[in-house]
Amino acid sequence: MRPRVRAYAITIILGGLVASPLFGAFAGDSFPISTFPMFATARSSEISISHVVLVGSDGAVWVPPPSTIANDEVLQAQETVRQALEAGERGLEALCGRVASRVDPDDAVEVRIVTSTYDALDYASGDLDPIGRRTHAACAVAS
Amino acid sequence: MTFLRWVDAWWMQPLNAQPLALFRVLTGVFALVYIIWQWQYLTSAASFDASQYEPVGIATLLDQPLASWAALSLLWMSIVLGVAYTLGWRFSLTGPLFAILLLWVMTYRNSWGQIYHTENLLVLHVLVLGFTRSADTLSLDGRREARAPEAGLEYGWPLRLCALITVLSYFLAGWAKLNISGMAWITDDVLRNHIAYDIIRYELMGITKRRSDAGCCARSGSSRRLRLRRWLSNSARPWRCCAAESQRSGRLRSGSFIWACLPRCSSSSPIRWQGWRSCPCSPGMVNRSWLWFVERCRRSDPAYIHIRRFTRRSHRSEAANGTSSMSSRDYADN
Repeated sequence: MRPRVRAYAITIILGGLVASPLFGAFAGDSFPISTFPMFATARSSEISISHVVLVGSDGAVWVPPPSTIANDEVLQAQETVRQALEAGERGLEALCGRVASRVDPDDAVEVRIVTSTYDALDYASGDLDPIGRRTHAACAVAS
Repeated sequence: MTFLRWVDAWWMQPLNAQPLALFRVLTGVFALVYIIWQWQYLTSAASFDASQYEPVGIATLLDQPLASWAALSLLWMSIVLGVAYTLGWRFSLTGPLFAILLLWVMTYRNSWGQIYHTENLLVLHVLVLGFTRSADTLSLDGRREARAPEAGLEYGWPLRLCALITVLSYFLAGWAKLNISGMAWITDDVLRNHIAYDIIRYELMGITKRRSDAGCCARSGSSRRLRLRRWLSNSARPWRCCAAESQRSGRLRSGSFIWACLPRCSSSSPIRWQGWRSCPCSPGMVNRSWLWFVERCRRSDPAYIHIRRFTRRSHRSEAANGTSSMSSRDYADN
């Protein structure tokens, strides 16, 4: 292939693919061609996040590390919780059981999958208590 | 026609082989280090439930995730081919193969619900370089040639294409924000709320920041990536809180982020807030910029009044309690 033809072929294919979201070619995000939707949607200061909490025998509640949910990646752990919620009861039970099998029974007695709502400004000012919390699933940690 | 001719002359400008070859070496080293650095995350997909598989890009060719041995084998192959790509060994074969394998490995890693947009450019640049003559010099293949390659058309445009892809990606990221949220993204609190969301989700997903001891926002945990971030944040002490908070050094460029970060840091660690004003470890320019920033806040922005009020309150509360530490167990269930 002549160098000029090859150059323009690769340029048009790769450049066109990268630019294609500009022309609405992709509805959702993909990889490595992306619509870059992160941080783009409107978001209010009232923030709801679904996550996992552990409950101790003394009633104390804390969050487990992401590795008990998926791996060390926070974002992957959050996606795992989202997928479980989308999958419904079965997904929630499966995730709850998986987390319960990974935590130390001497440390926690129960796993809960919850959605916590915070006021971002209050939270940033040090008020760490959620303004609301809804429990989707709970399971005991087998001792 | 004149414009097209001008574009053609600019795009196909002859160049020496060295810059392109150097870029190949740099991307190859980066890709190898990245794969090794990310090894535990790249291999952790084996422990995920198959129902979590949400293929994107070329991974949509597979309905089901790969067997763990196959995924692991491809990862090892990517390292071997990455070494060949970096060294420029039999590049006409190993270059395209590594580019395709890296595309697969990264796409597969992004096919579990979470897409890591930081990996797009690496993959795209290696795709460009893998399919062009980027190993004619600074390579094992090049050493076999009797003389160095002359400047030619084929050494310039791949660099321009990589630059174009980079610019396009950042343009798209900005365009998406205006396209989805409109001008409110600039004029409203969208970014602040996103950053707050990001901070809160990190904490709720178990990345706990202790606001005492060594730093106002040091993190308990053992991830290699976060240890590096902590080291980076310690290297730029005036920004340490924001660096540790953001978990991504890129966000340090966002002035708005500082606003989301400051109230927390000042509230939890007022002593360090004061300490930053004359931090001996920080480079002079950074320190001066920081002082300028603080003074600007003091004069004009009501948020600073809030910070100061909070700082005083935290001072009192610390004096009363004797500590400002916080652990992950401080999360109370309502």
